[in-house]
Amino acid sequence: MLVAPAKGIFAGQSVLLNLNGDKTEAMVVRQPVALHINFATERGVYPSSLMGTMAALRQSFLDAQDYARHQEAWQASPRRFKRPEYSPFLESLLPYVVGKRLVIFTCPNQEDIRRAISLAEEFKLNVLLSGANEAWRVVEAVKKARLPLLISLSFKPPLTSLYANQGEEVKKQAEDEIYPANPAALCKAGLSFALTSYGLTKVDDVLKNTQAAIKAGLPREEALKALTIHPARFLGVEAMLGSLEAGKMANIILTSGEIFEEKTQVKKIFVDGQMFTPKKAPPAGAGPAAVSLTGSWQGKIVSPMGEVDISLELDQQGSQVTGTATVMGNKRDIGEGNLSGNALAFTIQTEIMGQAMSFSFQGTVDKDVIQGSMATPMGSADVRLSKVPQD
Amino acid sequence: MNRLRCCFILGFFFLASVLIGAEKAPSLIAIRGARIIPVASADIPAGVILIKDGLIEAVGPEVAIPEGATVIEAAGLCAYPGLIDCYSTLGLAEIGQMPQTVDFRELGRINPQLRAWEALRPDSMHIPIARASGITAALIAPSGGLISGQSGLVRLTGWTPREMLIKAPVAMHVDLPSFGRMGFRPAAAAEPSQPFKELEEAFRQARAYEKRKEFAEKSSQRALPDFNEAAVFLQPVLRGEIPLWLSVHADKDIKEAIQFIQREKVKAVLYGVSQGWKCVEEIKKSGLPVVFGSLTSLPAGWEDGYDALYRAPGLLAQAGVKIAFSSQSSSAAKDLPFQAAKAAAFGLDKREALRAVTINAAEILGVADRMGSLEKGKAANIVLTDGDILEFKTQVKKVFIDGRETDLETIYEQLLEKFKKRESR
Amino acid sequence: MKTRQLFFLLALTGLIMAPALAKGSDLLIKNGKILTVTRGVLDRGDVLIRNGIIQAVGTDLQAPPGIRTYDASGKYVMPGIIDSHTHIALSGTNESADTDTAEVDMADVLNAEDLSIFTALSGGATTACTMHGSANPIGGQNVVLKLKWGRPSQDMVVSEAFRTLKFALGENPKRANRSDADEARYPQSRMGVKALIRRELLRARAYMEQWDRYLAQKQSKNPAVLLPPRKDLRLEVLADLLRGKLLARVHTYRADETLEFLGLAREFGFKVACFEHIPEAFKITPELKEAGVGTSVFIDSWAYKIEAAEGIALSAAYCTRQGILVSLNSDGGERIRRLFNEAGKTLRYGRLTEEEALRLITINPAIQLGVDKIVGSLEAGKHGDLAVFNEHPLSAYARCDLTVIEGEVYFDRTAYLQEREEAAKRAKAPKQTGGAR
Repeated sequence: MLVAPAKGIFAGQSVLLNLNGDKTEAMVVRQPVALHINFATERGVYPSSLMGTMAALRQSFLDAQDYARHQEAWQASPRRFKRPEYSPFLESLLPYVVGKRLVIFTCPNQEDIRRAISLAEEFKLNVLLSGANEAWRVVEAVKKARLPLLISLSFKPPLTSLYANQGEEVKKQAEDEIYPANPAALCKAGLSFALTSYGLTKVDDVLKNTQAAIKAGLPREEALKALTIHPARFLGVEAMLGSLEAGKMANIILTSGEIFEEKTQVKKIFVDGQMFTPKKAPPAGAGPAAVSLTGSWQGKIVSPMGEVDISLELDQQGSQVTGTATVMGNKRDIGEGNLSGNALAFTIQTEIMGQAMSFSFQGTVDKDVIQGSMATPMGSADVRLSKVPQD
Repeated sequence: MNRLRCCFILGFFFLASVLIGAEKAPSLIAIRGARIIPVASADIPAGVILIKDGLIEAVGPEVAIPEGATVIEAAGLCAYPGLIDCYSTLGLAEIGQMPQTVDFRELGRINPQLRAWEALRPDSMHIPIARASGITAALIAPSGGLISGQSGLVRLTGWTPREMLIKAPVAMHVDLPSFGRMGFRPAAAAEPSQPFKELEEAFRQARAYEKRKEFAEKSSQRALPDFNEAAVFLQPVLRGEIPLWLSVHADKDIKEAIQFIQREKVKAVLYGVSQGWKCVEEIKKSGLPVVFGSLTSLPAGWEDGYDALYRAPGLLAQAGVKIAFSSQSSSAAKDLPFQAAKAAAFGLDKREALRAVTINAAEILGVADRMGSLEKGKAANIVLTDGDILEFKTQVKKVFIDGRETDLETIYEQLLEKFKKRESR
Repeated sequence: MKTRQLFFLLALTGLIMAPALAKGSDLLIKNGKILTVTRGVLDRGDVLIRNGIIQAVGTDLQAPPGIRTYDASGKYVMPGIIDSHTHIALSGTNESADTDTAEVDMADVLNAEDLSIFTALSGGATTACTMHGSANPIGGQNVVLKLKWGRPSQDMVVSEAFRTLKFALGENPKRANRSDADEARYPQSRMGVKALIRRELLRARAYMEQWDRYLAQKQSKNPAVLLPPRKDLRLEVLADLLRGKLLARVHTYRADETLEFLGLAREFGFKVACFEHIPEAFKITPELKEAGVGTSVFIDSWAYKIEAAEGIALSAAYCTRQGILVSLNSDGGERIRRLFNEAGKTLRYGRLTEEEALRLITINPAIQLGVDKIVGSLEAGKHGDLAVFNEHPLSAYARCDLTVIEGEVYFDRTAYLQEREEAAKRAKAPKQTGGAR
């Protein structure tokens, strides 16, 4: 999974992680992979508008080139020239602007795609377009630019789109019927692309939306390639990932049927050769409740990224569990709360640093301890909570 | 010598009396030869309007002109009734973005006690400009909050507010949420119907207050209720003396407003009605008149169609609804006739467009007995033009209000004259 | 019912987009009253467009068989309306986080899906200069567009237009109308506004001197050893202004600040293409005439700010008669659909002739924008941009029925109404069968 920073114009540099390991270091496949750039704006400081951002991007690239030139000249003849002032920002741009390492532009709408293409051409950058769920509207330009595409599986029409401005019904229909046809349209135009989860909030939607894209005309083999060999190639890790070949990393999924079939279940997952068995979510409403959950719970979520405090206020009625969860200061209602025997499951929709996230918990309750794992878009984390005694 | 001095003194007094007399407006005026558009009856290709003591004495193709009448030759001109603006902030706002000069809006939700005419500024620079467009009367009204206050009808001439006032109060104004002037936003998600609940509550309290008062007045042993401002000032509406003037835009709100009015059994006028094209039948069945706001707002949503506001007047008029227009602001007051013409471009019958800014307006404002058409007994509010009063290229030549010819010079001419002097240097 | 509504909307969008995608920019407008603006009026005439260019304007023109034809009998044909100053089709208006943002370019933030484009077409507008806002003394670069609804944004850009840079004077850049929540920033006075502009121009001059010196040295010494000065996009644009490669378009209200800016232009030797809004233009016609600078104005939108308190409706007509090039603008997405009404008002306020009034929204803005060789009048050789009205466009009863850009129909009221009627019929049908909606 390519994990990239989300916010800001120069968002930062991304890392490719294997989804296993208890240590971050063990998970790293490749870093940095790319510099990620968003067509975003600042608030209250320059650039606070989109045209400001475009100008600022150009100026930054020019400054990086200028910086490199100045550095080179000074290194060659330190006595001739004034020592260039160190700039951490420009220093970190050099590999991308001068060194032509991978730059990924996030392009939520068709105009952003055009903007990215024009910047790529003007500064001869090595560019990947990400998001690009409106690529079907600018196919000719994309074809001409010959830039690899990371197509988002999120099918919501962007705010600038005509489809988003003609009322709720048009918007819904666009999301259900028109935008899912994006991958198919690109395939028809002979473009190769990767499919990504960027923009999705629920992990389950990856497969669900891929299925929708297939229904809208994307051939299954293309869908599979778009989730395996194409991203491997675009991110420069084709030698070790993306297909089942001797010598490649043992990242394998075993399924009960064709991967994109509705009823198919994932039986086993191998990451870096290590086997994982996915846990089944308890069927809603099955079995009488064996314990009482009602009350306050306090604990921690432990992930390779660190520890986070979590507290729960739960109310249990039979097998239905409701209440609130507080994670990193954000209090949210829990959803789909279900207790079956001593198997507990629920979901939390919340925001971390402005980014919408969905956490789904599966675990067990034993007396006054809740234990289990929390699935997040960024991976799985262990959770352990103890009941807060009521005196 | 003495005789000469006598002559001088007499001559002086004689001259003085003539001069003083000349400052008084003539009480008998005949406008002769114009094409007369009475509105309430058929056009007269060339006729006479006789004005006596501020009222129309006679209108016809052949009217005897009494001796001593001041005759105004108007051959080649058109004579119209003075136009009536059904919602304006004339005299209540001078510079839009300077709150120091804006007085039609208050804080608070329930303000039936506010009277727009009590903030009227007769020397607003906007009044002569509107008058020079042929507008002779305007409803000046408050806005903001839920119950904004009372409106009054003023003539566009007069040195003091009292001289300007024709009728007050005319209506009680209520503002419901609108889409704003930007338009083309995704149609607002269902707004809670709190405004109508709030209104119901305000009315209920006002009625209850009145009952308690009545009850207490019958028996001295019962305590009189404390003074309740909102309740007291809502009584004229509840008693049916003045209509409720509801500013509504979304079709959902229009329908709910109609039901509210029927439940509360009050008189009413619908204002704004941006999505009126969507509920023509309901409005027609309700029997309520409709006054349009400025047609220069964009439609609420793309789905309404680009011409939604332009075609609504035509649709409603065709269905038999009484419609009128308004300028909605002091600085755009002079555009009233052009609003009517714009609706005519999109389906409103041209004659109906003229009626909408004359007799219909008078009827809706409850002054049809005094103005809105050129008929005997009505106020001599007459506009002489060189063409169709709703057309751009027409020049307004004279405007009479209550039989007095008004000054058509505005700040436009004054400033231009001042700076034209630069050219001659 | 929901599906029906959707169908209507999508069909409508499709209908609007379809002509844009349909091949053939050949069009014959027949038997209309042709208002050419520069070549008089034809009581009954045709306009023949081939490959997007007007091939001929005349009576009973010979046209290739099978050419798409529009019957304009009883209607009026005028050149497509040109809006000299607006803010539509953009994702953003102001880069207000700094006081000189010359480096920003509105061409970078075009939004081809702005519904205002369609709104403009419904009022006969075919070309618009869409601009940076007036939040800063020095704003950004503007762009001229053909309003080709349904086309990609880069197909809309008119490359022949002058390059222009937005300046702003008066209350807006000095933040007079901002809320107290915004932090105050320099400049807060008209003194500061002018001083800031002067400062930036001086900086640009100094920047140009640095580059001139570098380039001169480069020729005499070993170039590999020389370092060029840092390329500064902001100062590059201002340098281009000083070099005459782009022109200034200046938002101004009061007569005095306008004169001050003319002084700056003389001091630094740059050209002003047009003054925007300038409600007090009538006060300084001698100076405007002498400087050869035109105006882009409202007719009668005034008294919203104190600096607009003397914006008389007679100004546009008076300036026109004084020989100043005057155009009308919308400054937004609402007025753009009734610029022909605005022009009509000059018949009353100032008694312009019909031709003079029509020039305000056709050839005059074309000249100001530098596109008068291709648009602004109905003449052979110019682009086939036109609008057809049911009445004379300067009549208050006028309605736009057809808008054409380069021979392609982008707005057709008859088709629009038909589609709406059919959608309404479809929406009613299920009710009769009693089917669930």
